[in-house]
Amino acid sequence: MATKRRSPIPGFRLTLGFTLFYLGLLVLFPLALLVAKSASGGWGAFWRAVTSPRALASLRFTVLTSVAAALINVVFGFVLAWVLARYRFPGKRIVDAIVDLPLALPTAVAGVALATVYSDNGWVGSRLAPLGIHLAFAWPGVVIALVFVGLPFLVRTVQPVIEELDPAVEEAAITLGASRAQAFARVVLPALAPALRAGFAAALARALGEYGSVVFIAGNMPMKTEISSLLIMTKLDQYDYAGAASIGVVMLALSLVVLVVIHASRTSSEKLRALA
Amino acid sequence: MSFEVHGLEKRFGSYVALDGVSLRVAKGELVALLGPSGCGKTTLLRVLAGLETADSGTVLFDGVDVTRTPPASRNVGLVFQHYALFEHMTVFENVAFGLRVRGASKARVAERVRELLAHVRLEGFASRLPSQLSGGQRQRIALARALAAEPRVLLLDEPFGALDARVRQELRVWLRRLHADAGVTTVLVTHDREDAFEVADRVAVMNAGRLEQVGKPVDVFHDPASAWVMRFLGDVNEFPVRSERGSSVVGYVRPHEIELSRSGTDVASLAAKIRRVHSAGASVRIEFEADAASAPLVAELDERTFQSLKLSAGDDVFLLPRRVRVFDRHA
Repeated sequence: MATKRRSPIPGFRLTLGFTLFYLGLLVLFPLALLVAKSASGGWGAFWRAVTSPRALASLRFTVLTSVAAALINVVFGFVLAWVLARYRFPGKRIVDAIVDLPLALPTAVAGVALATVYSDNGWVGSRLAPLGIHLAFAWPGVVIALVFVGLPFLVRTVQPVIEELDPAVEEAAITLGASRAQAFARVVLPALAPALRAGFAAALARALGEYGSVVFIAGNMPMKTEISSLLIMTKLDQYDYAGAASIGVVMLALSLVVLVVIHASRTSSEKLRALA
Repeated sequence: MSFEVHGLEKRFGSYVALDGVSLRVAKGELVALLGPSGCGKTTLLRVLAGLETADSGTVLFDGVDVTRTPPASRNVGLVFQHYALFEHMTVFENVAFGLRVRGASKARVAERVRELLAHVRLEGFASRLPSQLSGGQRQRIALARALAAEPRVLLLDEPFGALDARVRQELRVWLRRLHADAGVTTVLVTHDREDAFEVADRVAVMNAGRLEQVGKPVDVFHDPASAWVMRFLGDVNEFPVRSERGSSVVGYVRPHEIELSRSGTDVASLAAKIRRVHSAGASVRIEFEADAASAPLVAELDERTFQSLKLSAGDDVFLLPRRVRVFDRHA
């Protein structure tokens, strides 16, 4: 029992009480109001708002681009994390710092920058446009923006686990006759799988809620490239508070699912490490 | 399998890990590479395993040059200090790994793993995870894993290094027996002279990338080839003596090779004052101060001799070295 153990920090009851009050006020109370607001028009109104073709299209678009971006981050973020964890090279500290840039940068700035680069008259876009490839104002642009904002979540989740992984484990596999590919697939990847899952979930959660960087590059065409967060903004602009709240509740439910996944994979990886 | 290495050299930047190492190990032999940390012994082991490539020199397995052979094709069994077990796999899967990647049949894998687990006396542990085992058990699984595919040579890198003294002692005895049964040519890397002397057929003492001396434990201990080996292998007293040609050289004397007396009858004896007496041990250690020696001297007596001399701190006594060694080089 926590209360029976003598703790150097006094006031378990007080601090626990404060914690619950603080979390309630800051997190649960607004979310509860959101749910209440969404139900204000009744179940029918909620259902109509959520299942309208435009809302469904936005949810589908949001989830698909987010999952795509998170998957891309799992592959390339893993490579980046591996290089940062395993190798020493000149300028490593700078590369390490750049990884965190998407966290610190206002996402709107990132959105404007990406739109500038990838639009048809931008540095990259102008070279691709003659080939008939248009990244900005279409789904690839959204995925690029979401990869950008999700990258640090993947790298920072996986990198410390790679650093903890003893290189001797790979060497053991290789001296036992495994090829490099076998050693990677059978020994390295399974050891990192919980961290990769957690990193995927964190990048996904970030992408689902992303707004600032996406709206500048998405083109925001209803039914095509409109994300749910923007649809919520649009509904608020039209004074449809219940409708906005309804879509918000669906987003909330999605975030909860992702969080549960994060927690599940984190506990399993922590359990493994605690036992080790 | 027998193996030999010739003129191995390896540098890491300005650090010289191997400085012309040549060694020949016979089939079925257990050789210990003994030396302080950073002396290059682990590098030598890794060159044998193929995990490190020497800058120059050759490695021969049964007379065949394997210097450029990748580690996966050398069929060596390597055991690491920190076990390096596959944490996400069960004990069974760990031991089976080397057989499976070589494409052994399911029945063969099951039979061989059972055989090995019996060999390391962990029969009931097949479905456990490594994290559920003690340090000694983990190291035995690491050994079973290394032995599974019948390696040509078994390489042990400080295998007892992470274990406490009692488990260490048990594993030494056990390893000696395992080696007697299996007869695999084995190289044991250690910085602990007891590991080396208790387990090995021959000991190769390494210092700063070179082999200082190679020989049977008893020969290496009693006839060290250099002052460095003498100092590395145990406590030693150093004091000036006259050589046969009359010049002053450093004489080396082990603490247990000193006799004590109350009166200085012998010309070779040395006047000294007792500083401290440590009698809580198998033998009694006595520290002295002597004008003739710059550093404190140490002698070890058995309990009975100590009692009969009735010695205590502050007494003036005479030391009579029974065996003084003099070396040409004082590295």
